[in-house]
Amino acid sequence: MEENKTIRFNIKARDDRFFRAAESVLKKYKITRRPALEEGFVVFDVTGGTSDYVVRIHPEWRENPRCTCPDAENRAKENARGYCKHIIAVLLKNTEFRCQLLEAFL
Amino acid sequence: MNERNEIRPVGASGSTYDQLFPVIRATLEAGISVLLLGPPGVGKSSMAAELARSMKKKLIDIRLAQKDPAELGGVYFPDRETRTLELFPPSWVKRACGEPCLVFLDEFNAAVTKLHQAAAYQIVLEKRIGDFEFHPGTVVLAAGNREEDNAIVTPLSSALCNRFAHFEMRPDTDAWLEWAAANGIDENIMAFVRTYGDEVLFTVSDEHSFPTPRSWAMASRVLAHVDPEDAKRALAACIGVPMADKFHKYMTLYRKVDAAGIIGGRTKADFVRNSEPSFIYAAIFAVAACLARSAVPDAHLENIVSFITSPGVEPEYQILFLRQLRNRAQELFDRLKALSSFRKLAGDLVSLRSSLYLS
Repeated sequence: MEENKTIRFNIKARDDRFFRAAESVLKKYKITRRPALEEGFVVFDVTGGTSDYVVRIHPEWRENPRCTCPDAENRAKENARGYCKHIIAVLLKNTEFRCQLLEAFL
Repeated sequence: MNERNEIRPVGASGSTYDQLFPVIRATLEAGISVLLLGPPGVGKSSMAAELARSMKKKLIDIRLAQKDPAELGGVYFPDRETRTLELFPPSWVKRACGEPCLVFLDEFNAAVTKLHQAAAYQIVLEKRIGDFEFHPGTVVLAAGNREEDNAIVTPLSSALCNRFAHFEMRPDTDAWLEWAAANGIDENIMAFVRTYGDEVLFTVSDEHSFPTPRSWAMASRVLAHVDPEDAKRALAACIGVPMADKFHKYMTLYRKVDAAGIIGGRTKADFVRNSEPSFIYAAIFAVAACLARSAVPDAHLENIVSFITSPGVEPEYQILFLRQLRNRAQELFDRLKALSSFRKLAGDLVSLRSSLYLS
């Protein structure tokens, strides 16, 4: 039987859009980590855009990351399991939590 | 203008389900009716159902070729008091008028008559039947087959064609596998389709049976009921003899994988010696299927990470395995997050993916 030799890393158009948006957040916005845990979450302030937002990350990945932006509750919730561009940018910037991005593109 | 114009959608080869979904949704939300063409069994009806769900509209599913024109446009009865003709609309029209609906006109270009087209014209262009105007939130999606797929196709008038935004859908292995994992499709079929890709998922043939996303779903249902000794014949009835033969040869390979032994830590898959993609795919789907149907003790979780990080398993296989796990065993997937080895795997995959954007 002839083997299928074509191997590729599967990238969805959806991932592409979100990663590009996150890239713009990294370049233009300021991401500040608050010094202490708040109710067990590491909290980041994302400022410099039209509005300021707060991203919460569970340090041991017991819950998926959350953001206060409307996109996380609406479009991103449906298209990317709630991973808005602010969450993606925060996770990309902080390598210790980067693993939590996995579900964004599974 | 040619009155019996043939339908020629933009993009000769078509787009995948994932690519089309957001564009078609946006087009419908803009109030424009959509004509979606594609080969039989490619997932057009599934897309209509999914669009209705995501747009929070009731689905009205009408198979045009199976309807009498009166079932589309209603019938006129004389009102003796007013001495006029009054339209009695079909029941679906009342629903389309009363609440936001997605009117799905399937088999739109399959042997429809001029009377069908006249009714369709009103539905598509005016969003009404007679005096019955559809609810402002009601949208219209039509679907049909292409002539090159050996389907019976009736050319539509250019006036009707011009009222649609046209899209063409092609089969897509990745999208189908995602759907398949969420819809209980037989794991052997998923492994086979993943291994050989689009060429086995969809092949146009002059035979009565040939593989399409729909006929593979039929084959999956048959496999769940038929005795093993009759499986090959039953499969051939759904997907054709040549594809059933190919599938059975693949199954010989698939059965060599000791999934329970791998999960229990009693055996390891050697992907360095057995580096053929067909074997790796077979192992991934066999282990994922076993995990989806069995209770896995905490002590065995590390074995799962060891399996998928074995030498010779490249990132695209790891992603495939994790997708299967996430779709078919979400609870187990969440338990794996507690392992530092799993978090390292996830971090490595994310870094590899995101390196494109962090230059």
